[in-house]
Amino acid sequence: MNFGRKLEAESANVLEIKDVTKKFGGITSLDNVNIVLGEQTIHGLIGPNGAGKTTLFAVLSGELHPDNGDIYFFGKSIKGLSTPKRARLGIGRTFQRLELFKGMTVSEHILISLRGRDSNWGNFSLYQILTEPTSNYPASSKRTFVESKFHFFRQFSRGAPNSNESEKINSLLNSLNLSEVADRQVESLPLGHGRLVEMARALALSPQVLLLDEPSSGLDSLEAQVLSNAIKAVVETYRCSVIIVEHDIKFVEELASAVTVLDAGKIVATGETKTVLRSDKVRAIYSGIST
Amino acid sequence: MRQLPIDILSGLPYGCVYGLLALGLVMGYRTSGVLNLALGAQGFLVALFFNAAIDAGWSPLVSFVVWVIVFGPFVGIALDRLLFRHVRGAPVVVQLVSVLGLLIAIPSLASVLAGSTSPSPHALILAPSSVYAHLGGYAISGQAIVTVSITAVVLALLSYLMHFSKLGLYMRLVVESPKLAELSGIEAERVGALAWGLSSLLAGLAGVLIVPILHQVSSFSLTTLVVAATAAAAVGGLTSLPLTMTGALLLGITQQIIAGFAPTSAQWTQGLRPSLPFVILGLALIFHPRLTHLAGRSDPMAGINPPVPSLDVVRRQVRKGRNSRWVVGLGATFAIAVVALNVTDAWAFYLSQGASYACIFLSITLLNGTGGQISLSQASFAGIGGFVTAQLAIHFALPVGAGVFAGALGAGIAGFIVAIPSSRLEGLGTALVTLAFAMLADSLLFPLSWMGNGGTGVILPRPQFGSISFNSSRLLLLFVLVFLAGLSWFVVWIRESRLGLEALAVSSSRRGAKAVGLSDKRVSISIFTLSAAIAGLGGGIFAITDQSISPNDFNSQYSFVFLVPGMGLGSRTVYGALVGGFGYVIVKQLLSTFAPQSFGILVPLVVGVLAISWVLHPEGIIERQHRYMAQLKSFFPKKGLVAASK
Repeated sequence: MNFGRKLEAESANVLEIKDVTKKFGGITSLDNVNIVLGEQTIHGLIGPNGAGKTTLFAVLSGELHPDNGDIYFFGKSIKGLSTPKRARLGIGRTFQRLELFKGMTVSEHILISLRGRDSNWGNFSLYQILTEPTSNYPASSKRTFVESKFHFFRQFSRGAPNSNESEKINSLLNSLNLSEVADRQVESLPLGHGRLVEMARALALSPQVLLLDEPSSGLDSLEAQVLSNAIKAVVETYRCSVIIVEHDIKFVEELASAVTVLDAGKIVATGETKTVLRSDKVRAIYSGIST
Repeated sequence: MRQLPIDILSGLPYGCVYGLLALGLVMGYRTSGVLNLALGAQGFLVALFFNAAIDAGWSPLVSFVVWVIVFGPFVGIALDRLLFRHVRGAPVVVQLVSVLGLLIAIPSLASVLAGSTSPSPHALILAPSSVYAHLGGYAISGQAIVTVSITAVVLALLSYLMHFSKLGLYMRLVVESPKLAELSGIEAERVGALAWGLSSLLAGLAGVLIVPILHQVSSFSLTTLVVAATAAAAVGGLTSLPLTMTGALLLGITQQIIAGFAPTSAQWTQGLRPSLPFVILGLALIFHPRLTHLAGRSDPMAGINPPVPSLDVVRRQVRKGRNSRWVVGLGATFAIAVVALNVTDAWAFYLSQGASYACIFLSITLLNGTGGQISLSQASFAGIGGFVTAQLAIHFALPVGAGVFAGALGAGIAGFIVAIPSSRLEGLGTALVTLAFAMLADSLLFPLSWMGNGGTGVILPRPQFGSISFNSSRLLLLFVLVFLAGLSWFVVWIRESRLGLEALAVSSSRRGAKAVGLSDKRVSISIFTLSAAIAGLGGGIFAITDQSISPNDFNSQYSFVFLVPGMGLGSRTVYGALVGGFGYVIVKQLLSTFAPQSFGILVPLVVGVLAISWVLHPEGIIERQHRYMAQLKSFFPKKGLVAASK
């Protein structure tokens, strides 16, 4: 298990979503949702528009906090953690509408993410600096108390990557076939490459869980196939688990070993992909789509 | 307690004026997403013409109909046609700078056209100071009757318009989605123009009504009123008209109660009354759930439009080789020495002042160019830096050279305090928090005896290092230019540092940055604090150059003035900041030396036009020229040439 973070694993399940409910005014966007994600698995999340898929991603990544229920990462609750803290723990994500950094090259995207992973400043808190107990940093820990307190000043260090960082960047670029565009600014790249850059950026966090939000959206069939192969390779190479939100059922069927179907915030069906997609309930929701 | 009802009644006219302006702000904001801080300038324009016409022998009622009822809305409709409709959906910084351009340009233009810089107070109907009745010990003046009555009529008409008329229905639809309104056969742009006309009519009314109350009105005092009105609008979440009016009335009344009850012995208690709106504005922005995400409004149907061109995020300058850096460094040193040793004492003084302004523009370069943030309080940070430098020199005999750095530390601390709440906000919210701070600095901080010496300013000596005295302006210029070169290097260093890279990421996509573990708050606060400290250095340099500093040197209006050339010339390059700083002083001096005195009034007009032109070229004039040069060079390709972005 690649788990070199502060949080010690208490469960074999990578992620457990337990009784999560989220309401917006009078609308229940997620209603008692339960999902368990094992190690190195790809889990599909499907459902019609307004089913609550994106809300669930926002809850998982910390952009929204659930009204009820909890989320466990290797058995520990991460309910109150902010998005950056969750990212540093190992929850990487991509976005349906690309959230790339304009003006920066592909390499710089990976560099930023590598450094984000190493930063121990989840939220800027003077109170935390002054009051955090030293016992959080045991002698065996690689990062000592003093080192972490002075970590703030690292932000004034050189912007260019060091040799260690360059090596990691090149490795990631090679694994996703992005080496040729390494020094190109992201706004000059086609959408398919943009999605790969987002994935590379998320992978630079060494994630335990990768959340992919409609990765095939806007891609043609050839690009979607390239992306599908890349996702499979990522799970094998980086030994992480993946949750995919998708509208393209065939894309999910090809990749995911398990799938959950959401409708109006509720789980309609969950289980092994082929079984779920052939169930009558799901066929009713996706009528007209052959499985 | 007998005083309380009198304070409440005497606060009503103020509350009514705040209310009219606040309703105008909300009308414009709801329709287009643009918070028109230039509304006070529009009110000033109408008030100036209204009173000038009466001075020329017009009857007050004729003047009212022509200038308030006809000309006022015309100004709003014309501005919508020329500007507001083109910045709908544009980044907040573009909207804000264009509005600030209007705020600076309109009073200047109005003064030229009306031949006066301050409207003389004239009554509309009743004699303003005459007492017409008494209510519980409160003498009701003619102006109070007129102000409250007109506001009541306006409220009744607005309520009818918004809830019972077809136009009100159309306006509410356009607020939700101009595109959907168009699909329903409604001409959204025409409805938007009418809303702007209405907003401008309300501003004109407020301008005409406030002049007899305050007696002496400048464009700046109306701008201050608009910021106070923004507090009332913030109470209504920038959307609710009834809540906005309620907030405005409560604001006016509370101010009068404070004035009645606060002891007048201490300096800070005197500042409490004018500070109240800015405190309310700050608190509303931080705690009002609707205001924490003022990143800009969008039409739900906006997806059918081609994407609005975002600010050009130009690639960070490609690192120059070590050799070319040496060449630039040596060239700059040579130029500094030649300039410093050959100019006259008078020009050495002006150029030193220019260098201090360049420092302040460098703070904008770091804040906006690297961090993508916007601040309307850079002049206030400069003022804090200058005052701390001066006070430490006077009261603690700290050498002014060291005092400049202590001043920067003071400004940095103030910046840190402002940055904490503003890092919770986005876009317009950040700008308004900094605006509230700037106004607070004007009314509460700078008049304090230990800061601005009770508003009279502080005199300080020139620096002295051992036996070297900088009493000579040329020697001081040499020192200041070397200092500026060092600061420019520091800004470039920060831009190329890890923090600079992170700031670029956060400004480009906050969601993306958070998703890779970056703390957007840490990055924003760091950049903002550094930027405030740099502005503080500029203020310190200004103080030692001028050998004095007063609150008027860095009042909040200077923040607007600094922002416009800072952004207009190009906030992403150090070069732009240097040209802005020196250019500001050189143009001012050349105009005052060679041009007729009346030309001086045109300087704000030029600044305003520069701001408005920035809407068309948000990358700034200097970067635009760089891009042209790069395009030109691309005709003659050679090895190693870096293509410009896009």
